[in-house]
Amino acid sequence: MTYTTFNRNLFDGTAEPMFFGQNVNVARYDVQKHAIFEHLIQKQLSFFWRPEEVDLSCDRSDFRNLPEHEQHIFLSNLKYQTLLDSVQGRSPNMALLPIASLAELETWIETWSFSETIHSRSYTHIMRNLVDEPTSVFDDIVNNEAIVSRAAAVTCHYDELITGIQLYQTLGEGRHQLPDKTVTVSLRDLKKKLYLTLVSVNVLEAIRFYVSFACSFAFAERATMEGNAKIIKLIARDEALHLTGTQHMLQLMASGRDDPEMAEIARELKEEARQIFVEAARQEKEWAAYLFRDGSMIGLNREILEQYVEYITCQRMIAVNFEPAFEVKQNPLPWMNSWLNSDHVQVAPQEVEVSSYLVGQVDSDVHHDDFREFTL
Amino acid sequence: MAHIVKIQDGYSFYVREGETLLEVLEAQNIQTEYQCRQGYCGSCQLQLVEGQVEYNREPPLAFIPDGRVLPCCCEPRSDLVLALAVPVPPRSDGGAQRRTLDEKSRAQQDTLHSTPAEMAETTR
Ligand code: FES
Ligand SMILES: [Fe+2]
Ligand SMILES: [Fe+2]
Repeated sequence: MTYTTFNRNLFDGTAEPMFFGQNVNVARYDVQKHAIFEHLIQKQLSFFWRPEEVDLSCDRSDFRNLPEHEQHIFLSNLKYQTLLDSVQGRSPNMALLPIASLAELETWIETWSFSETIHSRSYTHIMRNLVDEPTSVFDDIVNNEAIVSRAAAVTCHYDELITGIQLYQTLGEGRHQLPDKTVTVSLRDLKKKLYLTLVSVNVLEAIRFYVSFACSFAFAERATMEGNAKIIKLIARDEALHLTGTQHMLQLMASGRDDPEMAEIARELKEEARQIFVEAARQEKEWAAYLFRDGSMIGLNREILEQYVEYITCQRMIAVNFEPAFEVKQNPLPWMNSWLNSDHVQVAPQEVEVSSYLVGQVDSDVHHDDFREFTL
Repeated sequence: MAHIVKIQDGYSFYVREGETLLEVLEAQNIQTEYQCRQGYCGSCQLQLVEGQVEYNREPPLAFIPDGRVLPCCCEPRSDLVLALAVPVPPRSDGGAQRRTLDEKSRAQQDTLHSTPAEMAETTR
């Protein structure tokens, strides 16, 4: 169980489970156990974008013209997004790569996490443009109590899983005496931690992020902070793909098609997993209260954001076959759809077709006819 | 022959050839959810009670739970019965939008531009 960067065994890679099988050796993509991850990689690569391509020059003066309580809403929301992507830019790599057992899954995790670093880089781009002294804003992410309590909830499952894997990979299964305590390491317990981590990642990307998108787009809906909204549209496009990736992992686990023990665990932990959704919804509502503590903004207030929290939580729970936690209602923010849709985001003029597949653009088949007009 | 889409406990309508199921529903002013409209986000999914659909391009990337379809990238291949999560009457334009406004701005908005029908909607 010691991690190795290149497994010397010769084995059929497609017979391994997604996680906790053999370490991967050859990074080959011609055969796949779960082709979905290969498709996700292709799609994510075709989405590539850079924040500097989005012009933010109007946002600076827009921001100055916002009343103070709306500046609080905007900046707090941006800080929260920064926190979430700081976590996502490293944690899938840290937690999932050491236990991934399929080449296509391993590369999806890296591709996914890499795209998160682009999101983090865009917050710096936005922040630099808005305030003269970004340090005070960034420091507040670590100091501000409302944000710090978010961070704890977002990272606890990741951290437990990472610690567990480190022990497993250094000490193996069994009871071990550490300098300060005794620990019991078991593979089944690690699989449980993995399952709960994936649920909490799905909650992070499919619920928490969407609540923050609602705030970003509420400004743009009033024709202010529109450069920021363009960046958020691109981030939202990536997140839609990430949440799909995680939903697939959860469903593959629950179905037992990948690892029968995982299906048992998914059944066993159903209620605990469901509680992660419920608890996140509660926290997001608490956050809404903090955002709007000094007043609402035109088009969005605490109640409506809370309704959106319930709405999006139900949607995401249904998508992974969980009984929804709230009464299923109509989307209280119908304008979200067209903002979330990225069909018309134009980054640089030469990249108009950012959302299209880039694979297969080069036709490598050469026929006799192609040489018809050649003479030597 | 054109296929018929029926909303469970609701009304039915014809489908025009070449339109995705999402476009068909939108043309009926039925509030439907979407993000990507390309089959990778899963947010448009609906429950298909009866009938067959066909996905038009490459198979969609989003996970599709049993019994559900992704209207943004499929077309009806038979008559369909769909169950909506929230049974709704056709959306009256602006009505949905107005529900997003808080009391104060709603009052402002009303004085700016409202028709009597919209006023009725907001005070309901
Ligand atoms: S709108 Fe994204 S899958 Fe249909
Ligand atoms: Fe992200
Ligand atoms: Fe993400």
